[in-house]
Amino acid sequence: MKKHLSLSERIRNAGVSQEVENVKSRHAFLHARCDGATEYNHLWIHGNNVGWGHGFGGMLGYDQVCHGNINDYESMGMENWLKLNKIYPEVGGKDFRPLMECSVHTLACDIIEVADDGQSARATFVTPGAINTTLSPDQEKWCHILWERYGSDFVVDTDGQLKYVNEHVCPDILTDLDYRDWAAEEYARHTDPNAPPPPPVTLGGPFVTYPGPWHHEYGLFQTPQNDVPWPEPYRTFSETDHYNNPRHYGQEEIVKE
Amino acid sequence: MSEKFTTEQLTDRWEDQRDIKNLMGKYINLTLQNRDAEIFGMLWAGEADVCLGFNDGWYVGSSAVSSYYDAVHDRNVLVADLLQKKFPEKIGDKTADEIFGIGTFRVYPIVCPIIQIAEDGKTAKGLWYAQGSQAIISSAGPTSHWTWGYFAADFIREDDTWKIWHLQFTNDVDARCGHDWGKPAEPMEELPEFAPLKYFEMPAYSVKATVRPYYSPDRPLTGAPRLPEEYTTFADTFSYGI
Amino acid sequence: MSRTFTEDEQIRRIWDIEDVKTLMYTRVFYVASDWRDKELKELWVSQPENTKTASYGSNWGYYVGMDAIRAWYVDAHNAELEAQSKANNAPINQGNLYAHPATTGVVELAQDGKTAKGLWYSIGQETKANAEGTADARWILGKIAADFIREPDGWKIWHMVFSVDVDCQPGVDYGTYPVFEDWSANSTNPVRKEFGVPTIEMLTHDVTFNWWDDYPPMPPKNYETFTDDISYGPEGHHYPANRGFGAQEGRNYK
Repeated sequence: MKKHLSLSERIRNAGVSQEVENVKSRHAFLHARCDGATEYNHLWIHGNNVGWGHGFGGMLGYDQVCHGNINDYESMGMENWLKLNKIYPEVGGKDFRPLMECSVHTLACDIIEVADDGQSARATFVTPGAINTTLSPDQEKWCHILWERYGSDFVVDTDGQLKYVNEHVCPDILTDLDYRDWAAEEYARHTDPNAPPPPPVTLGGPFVTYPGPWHHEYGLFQTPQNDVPWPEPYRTFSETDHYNNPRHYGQEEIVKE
Repeated sequence: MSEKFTTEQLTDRWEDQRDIKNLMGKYINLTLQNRDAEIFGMLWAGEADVCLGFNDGWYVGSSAVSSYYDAVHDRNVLVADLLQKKFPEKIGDKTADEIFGIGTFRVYPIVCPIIQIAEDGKTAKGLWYAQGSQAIISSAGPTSHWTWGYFAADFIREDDTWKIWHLQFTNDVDARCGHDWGKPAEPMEELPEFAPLKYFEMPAYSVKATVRPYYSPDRPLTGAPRLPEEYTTFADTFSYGI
Repeated sequence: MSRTFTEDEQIRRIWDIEDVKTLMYTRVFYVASDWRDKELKELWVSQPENTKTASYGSNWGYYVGMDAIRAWYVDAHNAELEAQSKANNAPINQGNLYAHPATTGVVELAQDGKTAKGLWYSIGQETKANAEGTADARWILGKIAADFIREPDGWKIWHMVFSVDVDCQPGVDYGTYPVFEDWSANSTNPVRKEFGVPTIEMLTHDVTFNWWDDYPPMPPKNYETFTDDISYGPEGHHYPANRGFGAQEGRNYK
């Protein structure tokens, strides 16, 4: 128990801890609708040092994070819609973004620590997810299974709302629902020249300040990775580590004005 | 339930339930990273009657419970060694430490926490659902599995820190990905490169018992483990241990 | 505009949200045990002014009122189990498995503290024994949305929606299922068939367009008091303003 804090501080921090779950879940539902505009406008700090990392590396700054998660993502959605429009006239007039896919990264195993000063929080999650769509240019439904881990930092913004400042996404398992044995296939890729390739990764190659790799998916020779270590209790954000930290990968950290 | 507690008690209990969620989250993360050898020392209580249950038996007492985690670690050492022998051109130059943990990947995302803290604040109980996935290397080589099951645990406060006291991790389903668990499992051909795994034995259970029968089409409906209920002190409630 | 709460009120509100989550998770474990009757008795509304307006919705409409919910959710289900038992020559529920875990919860408590709204996602499955001595497993993925109301004995489920996104069999490529399915009451889709003929039959959510229709939506932040407009019951259902063509429409343009 946090008996070194006043009762008032502890109640405030209980609220922050609960709000971490809420913000994180709101992110998940908005992302599933491919609604990056709402997510990044309302759930993120608009600052030069926010970060969003993935296996391919780390983005730095709100502009770059938005470009990767809105511009690049919407480009894929629009290209998809143009193809759908030639096949399925019923997509006319509908928002192209959610028609691309329904990318649901569910949240599990939350480990949450709120700073003693109540101005920030850090959390990790395991996220078993599914990405599906009904209409596709190939005229087939598809449903990928994508299991990842998240490391997330949040700070209280000037409007008093808890918002994202860092997110590091670590994909571990990618397969399809549900006819593939992802471990046996991985073994076959090393032993059988006719083995099927892994399912395609749907993300493109966004701009990143810090090139990856920052995490590897499951592989036969992959040693255990701890790219988003669980948070430890801390006093204030400036005194602790943060997710999306390039120093973990031997890269120099850039701090923008 | 909040009516009978003071403001401070409610705050204490909030922090307690958060700590317990964090504790179990760490358990899952350590498993995911094949850090099983650290689990007992880091997360378990020092009580003499600690116990760890799986579908078909119990490890009872510190020595038995820790021996289970040590055996999982030892099995992963063997898995890495066998993969190294199979692929000398790729990892033949690595030390045992450098390749420890390859091949095996187990993730059991726990959700739906139902946590009850005893009114006396000394113990707690929790129940979670876990739909997991795992890559396991057997004598038939690497296969991935879906699991559908439960984590149920009693916790005890030691030096103001919550620790695992009794834990059961039981599955309804542990079936190969891409295969219908309602149909008979297809037999798998054994691979000579992984034959030593056939002879690797986990420690014998302290108590062999059916904690939860695995799903089969002729299994009677087997509901969820008993849910934690409000309680005053541990003597007033049931145990998730044996 | 948010109200200002005392510290005691703040921590009690935090626990209210936690209690609502625990209620939803309790339902998950009741479902796993197939305790449908117990679920309705213990976890759903029982005050007469609430039982009349209680609802259970899915993609294909709503059962409205606890009597209608019970007639479908408990009685029709039990009749199906009886038929299965007879066909399989096996005890009731032998070989059946129900798993609909709720994750990713976002819960908002009304400023007036009388109601709460929540949204979860479920990656679940049901497995049902068949007469051949095997069983048919099915992945079922979808949103779970619910309104909760505070009754004298605590928080209760008032309106619930289980909005299915994906259903398919393990061992089968989801891509081999037809793009367009018959969602009418005559459908052969087992999830649709099980939903029967609800009190209000309507296509609330068409999976053809993924989450374009945003139904059921996330709970509003900081809502003051419950209104029908934000209900997860039928009175709160809204189609997108520009609904456009439905699935397989618009083909006569050539």
